[in-house]
Order: sequence, then structure tokens, then C-alpha cells
Amino acid sequence: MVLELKNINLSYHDKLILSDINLKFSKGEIVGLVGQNGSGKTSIINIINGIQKPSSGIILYNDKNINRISIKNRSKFISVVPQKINFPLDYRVIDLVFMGRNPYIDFFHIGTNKDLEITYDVMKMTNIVELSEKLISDISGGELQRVSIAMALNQRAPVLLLDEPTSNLDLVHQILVLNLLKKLKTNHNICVLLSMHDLTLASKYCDRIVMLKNGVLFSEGSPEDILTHQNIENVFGIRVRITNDPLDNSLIVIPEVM
Amino acid sequence: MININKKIFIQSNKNYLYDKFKVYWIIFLCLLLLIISGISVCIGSVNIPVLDLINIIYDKILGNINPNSNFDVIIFKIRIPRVLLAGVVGFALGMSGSTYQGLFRNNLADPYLIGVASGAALGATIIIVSPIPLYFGVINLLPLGAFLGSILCVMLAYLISYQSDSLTLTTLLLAGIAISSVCGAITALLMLSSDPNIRPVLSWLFGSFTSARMEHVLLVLIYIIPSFLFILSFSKFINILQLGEDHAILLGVNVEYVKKGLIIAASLATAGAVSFCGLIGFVGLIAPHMVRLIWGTDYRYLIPLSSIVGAILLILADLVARTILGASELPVGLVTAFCGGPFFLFILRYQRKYRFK
Repeated sequence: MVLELKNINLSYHDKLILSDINLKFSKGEIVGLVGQNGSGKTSIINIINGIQKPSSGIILYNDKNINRISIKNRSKFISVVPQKINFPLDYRVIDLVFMGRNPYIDFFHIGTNKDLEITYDVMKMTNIVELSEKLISDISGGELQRVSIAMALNQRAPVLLLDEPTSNLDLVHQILVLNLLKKLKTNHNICVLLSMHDLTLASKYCDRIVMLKNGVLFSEGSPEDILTHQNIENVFGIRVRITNDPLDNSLIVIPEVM
Repeated sequence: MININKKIFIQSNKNYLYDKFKVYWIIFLCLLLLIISGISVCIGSVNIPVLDLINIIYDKILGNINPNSNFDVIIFKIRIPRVLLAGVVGFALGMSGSTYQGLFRNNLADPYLIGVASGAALGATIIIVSPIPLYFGVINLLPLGAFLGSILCVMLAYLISYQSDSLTLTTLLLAGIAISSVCGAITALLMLSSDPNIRPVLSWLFGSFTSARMEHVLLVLIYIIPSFLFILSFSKFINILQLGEDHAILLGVNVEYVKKGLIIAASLATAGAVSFCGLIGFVGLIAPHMVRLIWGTDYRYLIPLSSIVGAILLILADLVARTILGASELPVGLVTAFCGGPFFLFILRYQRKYRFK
């Protein structure tokens, strides 16, 4: 068990955003968070990475309370790809990706060759080595997303959180990003938690799916158990048809035209 | 597809870790600063030949008695303190200007915009106008008053913007502008209602190095050196802060500490500068912009470079201020505003073109 959320409640201006969330994540799995907009997916990610403090409940990383860990050490364990990326346009790609090494660089140092080597490996993995000298203003949205992922991977953290990493990308780049995550899971034994909207892709790539409805944990389990007519109609309020992909037996969710 | 292997990648990006060219530029600008200071010492109502200046300083260092003792007084009592003070103040303004711009992620931030300088001026004015003595033992209370004023203003702006759950930098900036104008009004009121005898003393507020003394230079240095070292060691975090505060936290930066530390350090430097030469606008705004246009946005180099450029600019501005009208003297703040305003408009224009390219 690498990460555990215990009885998490979050309210904001007297409005309950998350109530009584209990979740466990272990190494080497991809967990998908699904639910409507505003169901609390981003809040769960922000609570785990420490940007939002829960109103009650604790988050354990390897049985240690995450609020007791310093910000610098926490970023060695948990890396995040945020939903909104506003990079300064006059930075080079390498400048940004190298910032991911920050948790490992001492106060009075500026980094070593080893940090550059790790940066190279990460950029190779995300396929952006050729872009390294380019300015952020000159690269496309899909490339920007890969830069953002490379930056998070450069932290070499065992937990990777991604907030809707595919929602602004075309189909090719969605698949590229998800394949990369799958590779990370198998090669580096990373725990990946991502929120996403495409249920078909979720069932293809995720080992486990967590379904949220209005800040409550609706259900969790394997894609086959969770993505049913009943659940989807309950959570999203629409009727769907579900068929099996004959090749890998994953589910295909087709919304019915109303 | 270009194939870049690991070795080439590391070789070509080594200068990310240690940019030799920018370090050379810093050394070059330091030399330029030295030369400009020397020339600036020579020029004035009495022109001193450069060779004489070198001779006199050489003799002074060796302890020899030199024949040109009438130059001696001008050089060591008037010109050198004045040039040094202008340089040190310009250094402080360039440093705090670039720090505030990085911190607020707003290229328009400078010490005079966000209330720090006006607070410092108010603090110093209160010390002068009130019956409090200027000296408490050996401690000059003027910079302390200025520092208190600037820190109080920053804290007030901080508290006002903290009301809305978390500190947002835009609110801090807006609050700073409001506080700045209030402070300016109070300062003006205090000056108008003060004793006519000390009114001339208050003229320093408009920015002037007329009464510069060596002791002032040392006092300002006491404020500037620690804050410079502090800001320089935090400059790599300013780079990360450009991604936004939330993202900086995700990358392991303790944003609250960094922000508070940088605000205090930059305010300290501003207070030190304001307390002896009043309000000199535009240097803290222009110097970082010039550096950014030439050498890029990396704050690890931007901060030292714009400090040095600020020093050079202010020495030149002071030179213009005291020579252009012959015998009488312009306030240096007027010169910086006169040259800085149009230059800033030019930069705005240039940047827009650059962005749309």
C-alpha cells in the first residue's frame, strides 16, 4: 500500500465537496477517477498533492501522515501533472523539465551532471529530446502536455497524479500519453492516478476505476465491475450501450443518442 | 528527425547549470561600472583629469602626500561618496525591482508601484518631522524608520490580500498601489504642515544625492549586502515561481517561506536606498527590462545583472543631473523619469512586436 486516504472530508464555504472518502492505492497500478464535472475528481488530486487541506481525515504515504512530510520531501514521493498548465512563454523546454529536479538539488547548488542525465532519460521517454532548445511559445498543445509530464517524471516519484491529462488532446496524443503511462507502470512500478472523461479509454488502460458522484465515492473496482449500464446511468444520468472489444476484451461505452 | 544522444545533450545543456557567458557578462559589466564611476568622479563643475584621479587615489592608498590637495577634498569628500551612493542605490533598486517582478510574476512591479518605497519615504519623513533625534547613540534612525515604514506597508498589503483565503499576488499588487498613494498623500501632508526650517531637509524626498557622505554609503551597504546574498540564493526558486504558486509547491518549493523571505529582503534593500536619497523612480523598472531583453529571463542571472545595470544607470543619471544645467542641479529623480518614461514606452512597444512574431 503506497497511498491511503482515510475518512477524507472537504468543505468549502459550507459546501460539502468531498465526504468520507476512503481509498487505497498500491504500486504498479493505474487508477482512473471518473465522474461528472464537479464531482470532486480534482479535489481528490489536490488533497493528495497537498495544495488543498482536507477539512478532516488523513492521507498516509507508506503509513506516514503526509502533512508531517515537508513540502520538499513530499515532492520526491508525489508528482503531479496539473490540469491547467500556464508555463511562462519565454522559457525553453529544457529549463522547465529541469525544474522537476528541484526537490533533489540542495539549497546552495544548482544541479549536477547526474541531474542532467536523468533529465535526458525522462525527455527520451516522453519523446521531447528534439524540442529541448525550443521556446514554450513555439510548441503545440500535445507537446506541452508531454513537457508537463516530463517535468513531473523528473521528480522520480513513486506516485504520479494526472488531472485530466487527455482532455485537451487529439486522439493520437491521447493514446501516446496513455501508452506512456502504461509503460511507466510496467517498467518503473509507479502508481498512477488519473482523472478522465473517456470511459472507453478508461476501461482500456486502467486497472481499477473509482467512480465519484457529488463528492461521494459511488463505487470502485475493476473496469468490468464498475462500468455497467446501471452505474453509468446513475452517475452520469445518460443511457449507454456497452460492448466488448473483441481484441482485448475491454469495454466500449457508447452513449445513446437521445 | 534529429538524433541527439545523451553525451551531446549533456554537453550542450551544461550551460544550464553554469552559464559561462552570462558570468563573463557580469564580470564585464562590473568593469564597465568601475570605468563609468571613475569617469563620473572626474566630471563636474571642476573637471579633474583622469590621470590625476588615478594618481591621487594611488597616493591615497599608499599614504603618500600628494601635491594636488585641492582636488583631494573634491574627490574624497564630494565626488566619490556621491558616485558610490548613486551606484549603491541603483544597485539596490535594480535588485529589488527584478525581485518584485519575479515574485509578482508581473513585469510592471517595481518598488515604487507596490507601496514599499512610499512606505519607506513616509517612515523616513516621520523620523525627520517628529522630535525623535536622528541618531540613537551611533545608530542612524533614518534607514530603520524607512525599513519599518516599508515593512508595515507590505504587511498591510499582505493582510488585506490574505482575507480571501489564500494570498493572491494580484490582490497584493493592487493593495500595494492603493497603500502607496495613501502613503504619498500622508507624506505630502506632513511636509506641508512641518516647520518651514526643516522643509529644505525634506527635499531629499524628491530624489537627490546632494548631501551624500561616505557614512551614508556604508549604512546603505549594511542593508543591501545581506539582502543581495539572500535574494541571490533564492533566485532559482523565483524561476520556478514563474509557473504559478501551486505548481511551485508541487515541485517542492516552500512558496510561503520563499515569498515572505524575498519580500522582506527586497523591502530592506529598498528602505536602505530610499532613506538617503528619496524616491527615484523608473530605475527598478527599467533595469530588469533591459536585462531581460538582452540576456533572457533566467532570474539567477537576471538579478545580479539588473543590479549592476541599475547601478550604472543611476550613476549616469546623477552625472546628467549635476552637470546638464552648469552650476545649478536637477533632482536625479527628474532625470530618471525624463529618460525612463520614454524608454519604458519603447520597451512596451518592442515587447508587443516580439510577442506577436
